[in-house]
Parts: sequence; structure tokens; C-alpha cells
Amino acid sequence: MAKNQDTASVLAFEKKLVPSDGYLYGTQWEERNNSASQTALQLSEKSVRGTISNRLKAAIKSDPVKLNAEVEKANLQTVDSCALAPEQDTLKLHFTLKVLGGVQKPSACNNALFKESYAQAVNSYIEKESFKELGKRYALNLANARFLWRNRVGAENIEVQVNALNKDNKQSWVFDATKFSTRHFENEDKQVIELGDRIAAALASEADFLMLEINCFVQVGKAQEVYPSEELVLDKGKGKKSKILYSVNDIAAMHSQKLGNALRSIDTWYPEFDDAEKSAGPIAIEPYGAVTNLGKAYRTPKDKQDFYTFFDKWARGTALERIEDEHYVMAILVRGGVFGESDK
Amino acid sequence: MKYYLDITLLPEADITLGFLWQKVYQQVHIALVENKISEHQSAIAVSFPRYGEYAFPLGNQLRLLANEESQLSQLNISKWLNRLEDYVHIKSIKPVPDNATHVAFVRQQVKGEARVEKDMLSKAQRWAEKSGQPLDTCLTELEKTKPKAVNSLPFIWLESQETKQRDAAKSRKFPLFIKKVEVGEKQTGIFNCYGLSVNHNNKENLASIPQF
Repeated sequence: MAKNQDTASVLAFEKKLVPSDGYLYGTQWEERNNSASQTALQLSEKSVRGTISNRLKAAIKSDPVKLNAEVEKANLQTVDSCALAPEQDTLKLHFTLKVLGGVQKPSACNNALFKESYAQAVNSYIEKESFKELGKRYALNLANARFLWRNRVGAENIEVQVNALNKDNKQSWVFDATKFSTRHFENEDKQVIELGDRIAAALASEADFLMLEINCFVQVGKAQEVYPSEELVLDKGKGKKSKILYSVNDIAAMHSQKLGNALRSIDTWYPEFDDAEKSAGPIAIEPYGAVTNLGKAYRTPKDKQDFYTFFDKWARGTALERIEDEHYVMAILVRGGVFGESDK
Repeated sequence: MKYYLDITLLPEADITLGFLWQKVYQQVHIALVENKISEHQSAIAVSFPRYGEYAFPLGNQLRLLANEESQLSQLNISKWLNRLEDYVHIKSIKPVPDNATHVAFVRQQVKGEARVEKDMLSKAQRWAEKSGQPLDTCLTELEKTKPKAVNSLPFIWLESQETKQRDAAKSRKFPLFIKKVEVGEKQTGIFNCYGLSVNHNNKENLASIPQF
């Protein structure tokens, strides 16, 4: 064991981007700044004669015959759904986001030697980059309203209002999300840079924080269906409800994890990104680049593009080949997690 | 059909291909209705070059075809898909290659289980009246030839815009089933505003499109 003098078997990082749950309200586009017109959206239960519309389930997918035979058999089911009221044409999504500093210190680390070399690596990154690139990318994911997920597809108008709530440093931004692409991060919009710098400053700090409030308005059309988070139901019994949506205190909602996943979808540095056929666009920051919905990991240890390959070198003082790889490693630390390795 | 342009659907985590097909095809349908050449008739046809693909039955590509280049440029599909620009990639108009084979895409009307039941009942009632047998006997007899509501074709969920306009709260989605027919040789015919061949009962009357 002596040969692994700088192996930390206990190593954990707190997440530095902390979103709240997202709450869904309905309103009209012209009335969006009048909070009196906003009503909380509730889930409604529907009994439908269902057909299989999601064909991507792995078990069925592997058998094309079974896959299509599933279609259109009498399949009575009860599902949750959520829609705007007939006179409402706009969805409002409300959440808050706390950005924390202190990435220099792991929340748990049992090896002093490792801790020292790690702190050195982080400090030199902060000195060099001041988190500018990551800050800008997180800001763009707020500006382009990626966190709306399916609610964003085909929307007529999208407005994102971001307010910094810190007592001594209040600030507000308004973005027209349709002007910002979700496919790339090449954008030098002044407001985005400004917001990005605030996020970067909080991330780079030792113990500071930034508190953001986000109100997003999406014009989707009268009485249209909207999409809160779906709850993962493990024991679907026969005759029970097969789709359960998420709500908090009778307000339809999106999981904080889902908002967080959208905000950290900034990884354009994985090998297949530039390959038009194979690219999945920006993917969420994950140690193995996993995109569960596509059933694929874009950073496999085999290709030596995964987090652990980079981190083991970098945290011990070896420079990485590309600055992009350093961005990626830092973004994982911002995401947080338990990264200890066996000392045996 | 001498010119074409391809639209690629770009799924993301949580935004599946099925969901994108719904949104894209709805817009394409509206565009074709706005550009129709006569009642229920479109000069522009659609094709699904990756129809039947392993990962997803409709693939991830939609192709628009026309006889004249100007018909496609006039349609200006990027305007109609404007709000979906983060989720689709539209290529430029190109001439169709010479070595293409010919196929036709048609809409398949499928009766659901409920509709089949309803038809069966009314058939049995008419038969019972005519023959004087009790209804139950007729129903059991008909049961033998009951059509099955099983269908294995790929489909896209669509929403009727007309129903929606009449009553926003009552709008309902319906599955548009799409069948591919191999025709062998080029055939001329009529395309509807879904860009599909008008559904004749015999193969000879279908409108074909080049497949490549």
C-alpha cells in the first residue's frame, strides 16, 4: 500500500450548481409579467386506449416483430397528463439556482498528499481560466432554455428572466431563448457574458455564492399539453396507473435533477461531437459521458476519454493535452460526486 | 419527381425521435395544405428514406420531392420549420439521381378495437333483423370472421387542426399509419396533403416516388 502514497480512497465533492424543483404555471403571453394571471398547473388523470408510442425501450427494441405487434392492441391504461387551460397559451416554469464556490476543497478526502496536489491543480486552473468558459456555457444553457426539455420543441416564443438575488449585488437579465441555439456554444452575446462572469466568479471563489431566480415563459399554444417530470415507477402492477407525473403540493413540477442535467449539458468535447452522423449535440457532464435515453456512453475508459483517466493524471500534477479536457474535468467537479479509488 | 431535399431529425436526451416526428410532420402537413394545387392535392411528395430501420421504424430522415425545383423552393420549408431549427437539419435542394428505384408511401386507415366492436354490433343487428335469429346467435357466428385490430405499421401521432379550431379543449391525437409499397416501375398519380400517395385499392394506381 505504500506504493500508493497519494491515493485517496475517500474522495467526494459537493455539487456546486444547485437547482430547486421547477414549478409549472399557466398564463397568457401578453399577461406574463402580471403574476395575478398565473395559475398553478395541476395533473389530471386520463383513461385512454393506449398504443405504444415510445419504441425505444431496449427489451422491445431488440425484437422488431414484437416491437410493432405492440401497436394498437386494446391497451386500456390510466395515465397522468398535464395541459394548459383552454384560455391559456403560455407555460411558466419557475425555479431557483444556487451557485457555490469552494471547488478547491473536496468535501471528503482522506489523503493529505493527494489533497495538496489536487488543490494545486485547481488553483492553477482558476488562475488561468477563472471559470470563464464554464460560466459562459452554464449561462447559455439558461439563456437558450434547454431546461424546458420537450416543452421547448416548436414553441413560438420563449422568454427567460434571470434575477440575481444576492442582497448586495442585485442584477437582472432577460433573454429571448429562440435566439440562442442548443446545438453549440458559439455566442458572444453581451448579456450572456455578463451572467456567465457572475457564475464564474462564484465558482472560482473560496466560499462565495450566487443566488439566481429563473422565470421562463414559453408560448406553446392554447390548451396545449405540457411536460412535467415523469416519476420512475418500479412496480407497475396490472390495472394501476402506468404513467405518474411529478407534482409538489398540487403544482405540476420538474425534478431538480432534470433541471441540473440540462444546465450541465455543456460537453461538446467528447470525440464523436464533430461527427455529424454520430453526434448527440452537447451532452450532460458525466464521468463516462453517459446519455441514458440514447443508451450510449460517449466517453468510454477504453478510449481513454473518461473522467477518471483525465482526473488521475491532472490531480497529480500532469498537464492534460487539451484545455478542453481540463474544462471537462472541472465541470465534473462542479457537478460533484464520489470519486474515491481503491487503495489496494 | 426530379428534385428533392432532405430533413434530418436530431433527437436529444429526453426528446425522442417519435416526439420530433410528431412536431415536424405536423408542420410539413400544414405547409403542404397551404401550397396545395387543388382540393386535397399536393405537388410535393414525401418519402422516408430510412423507413423500416432497425433502431426506429421511420428512421430519422424525411425527404420532400417535387417535379420542379421551383416548387420546392417556393414551399420554403425552412420557414415552416423555423421554430424547430434546433431539432432538425435541412439540406439544400438537389436533383434526384438516375439510378433510383420506385416505391410508394400510402396512408393505411386502421380501425381500432372500439371501432371494430361497434361495426360488429351493427352488422349483427342488421343480420338479426333480416334473418329473425336472436342477436346473440348472430354475434357468436360473426365472431369467427372478426377482423383483428392488429397493425404493425410505423405511425406518427398527429392532431387534427380542424377539430382543434372548432373546440380547443376537445382536440385529440390520432396515429397516421404509413405503409411502404414496392411498385417496381415509375407510376404517376396523385399525392394528398400528407405528401403520401392517394390510397387506391390496387397497386397500379399508386403515385410512386424515386427511392435512393
